Amino acid sequence: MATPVAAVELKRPTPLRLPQRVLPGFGLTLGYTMVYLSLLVLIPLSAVFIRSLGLGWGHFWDVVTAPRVIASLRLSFGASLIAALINVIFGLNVAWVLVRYTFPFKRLVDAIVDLPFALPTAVAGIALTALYAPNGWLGIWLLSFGIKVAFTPLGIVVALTFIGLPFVVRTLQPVLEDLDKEVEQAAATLGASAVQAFARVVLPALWPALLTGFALSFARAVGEYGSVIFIAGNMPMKSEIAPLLIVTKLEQYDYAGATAIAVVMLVLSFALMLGINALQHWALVRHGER
Amino acid sequence: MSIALRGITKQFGEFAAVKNIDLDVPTGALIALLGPSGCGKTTLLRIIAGLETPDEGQVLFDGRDATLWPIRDRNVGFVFQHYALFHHMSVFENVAFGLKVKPRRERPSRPEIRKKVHSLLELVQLGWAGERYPAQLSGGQRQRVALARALAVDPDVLLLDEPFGALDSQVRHELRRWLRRLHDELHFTSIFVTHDQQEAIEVADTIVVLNQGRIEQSGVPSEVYDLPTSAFVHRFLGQVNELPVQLRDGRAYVGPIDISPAADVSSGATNSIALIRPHEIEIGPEAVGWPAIVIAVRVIGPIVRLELSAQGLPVNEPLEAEISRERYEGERFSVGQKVGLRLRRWQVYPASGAVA
Repeated sequence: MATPVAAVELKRPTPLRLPQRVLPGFGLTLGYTMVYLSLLVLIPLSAVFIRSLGLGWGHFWDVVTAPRVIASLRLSFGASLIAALINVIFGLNVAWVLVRYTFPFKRLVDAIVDLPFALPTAVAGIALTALYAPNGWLGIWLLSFGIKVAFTPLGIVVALTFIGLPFVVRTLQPVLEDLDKEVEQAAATLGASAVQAFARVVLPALWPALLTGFALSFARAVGEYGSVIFIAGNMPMKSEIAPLLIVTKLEQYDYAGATAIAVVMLVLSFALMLGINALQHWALVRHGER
Repeated sequence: MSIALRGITKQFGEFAAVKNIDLDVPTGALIALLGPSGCGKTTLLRIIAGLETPDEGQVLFDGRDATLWPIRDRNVGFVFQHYALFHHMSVFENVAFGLKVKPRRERPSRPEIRKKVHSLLELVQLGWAGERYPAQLSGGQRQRVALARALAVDPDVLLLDEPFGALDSQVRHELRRWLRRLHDELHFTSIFVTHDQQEAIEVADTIVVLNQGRIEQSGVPSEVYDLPTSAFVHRFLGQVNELPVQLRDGRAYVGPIDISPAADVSSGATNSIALIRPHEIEIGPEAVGWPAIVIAVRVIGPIVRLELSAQGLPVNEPLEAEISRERYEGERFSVGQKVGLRLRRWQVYPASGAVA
């Protein structure tokens, strides 16, 4: 009787070994993710592409290489880049102060950082315009140095910097809080000056977070519309941003033309984000994933 | 370089971490600051390194007042418990850091730096790991990198803050011996902090026992272990049995039973507490000494630990005795066996003070 039992034991199919997870539902959540992303992101974006296809390649090229379009794209991406860079530098400073020091009303200052998130962008635009207009509080003063802010590309940079600040601060804060102070102290005991310790030890640890903050701030700036149109002056070829040009074309019922510009923005943004992600990946790998 | 502390006091808010500490560390010494967590040992070490500033008192390096010197000018090597390696740098870069941040005129040339780093990595037996990143190394290897990094700048003093605290016991044991050898070869002054009495006894020339911000006792390890001056030190350096005893006419009694050891017990208050290390309890035949019953036997490698319920003591507070494995193999004490105890050596402290 023993032999058949052994044979049965041997024939029993070995169950498929899936890694044990504490929380189940991989299939369900992934499926949901795909549906959700498709509905919200992929389908609308592909509609943009399909719409612009109606133009035909030659026509498409004519639309997107028109001097006014090129100028607006250059302004949009250029101003966003500058704004994001400014935010990285000053956002780091703000995050540093908020994490490392205690001072009166720190909570309040911390909350103020979020204001650009919460404020309707039009309100921000109007407020900044009132401030920087040639007869505004700051505008008058700056004008006496010959600097015009409102209704120039400089004004656009100001608005984009304003709306992008929280992204850098909020991505850096948790990373700074986690940063091991002993590492700085180790650098000091090894003879490093404060500047050396910061540049060689602290900054490299912050790179990934700085890049993320930069990417978020930049992405937000490229897509910004509400606050910019008030302060920009919107002069074609000078201070007209690409999103505004899209709206203008839409108002003229030039849907294909509008989507053509949109496609260019989409592709450029995607390429830039991909590049930043690659940089980030590289920074993380160099970090040896801790 | 010799280090002297004079009246060092440091307060963190309400908490007095270090209270009026005087300490002399002669050149070339290897001393251990030993104590429970919160006793101020790490604070003291950080004050020497310049990572903390004392509220009062002076730190003297070779007799010169270094209390307010900047960290980078002190030329101390500091090894952190959690290594504090630079994660974004390779092992080589970590060790080279101290050389590369030197001002230009003091900085060695690139080939010199490479040579020095390689010899240091050889010294810590990590010659193969130069291109690795800290995340790719084990805890023991990381701590060796941290040591090599600290040694790269030729420090006058090496300060180690619980250097082996985060490692498992095997690696710990190895690194302790290795640190001792390194110290004997290189002759720098070293101070290390630990809460592990075994580690302190094994590695240091001098042990300084700290408790609640004060020095309880300092001396060579065997002296501190054998002749503790307070119940705190006695308890902290190894296992102890605590006996409530009455002292009368130069004899010690538990209840009506005379348990006086061979040594004189004339000193002490009437109601006292006697502390006896497990290996100071002599176990003999039932008729001789203090009657007791064996209630548990545990063989722990080379030693055997017996739990003994002695007459006159509460049953739930058995004495612990340790005998050698050979002795045990010879006599085969078993649970339930009746034996007689003799106490070889003990210390008596006033009963009231937990910290005498």
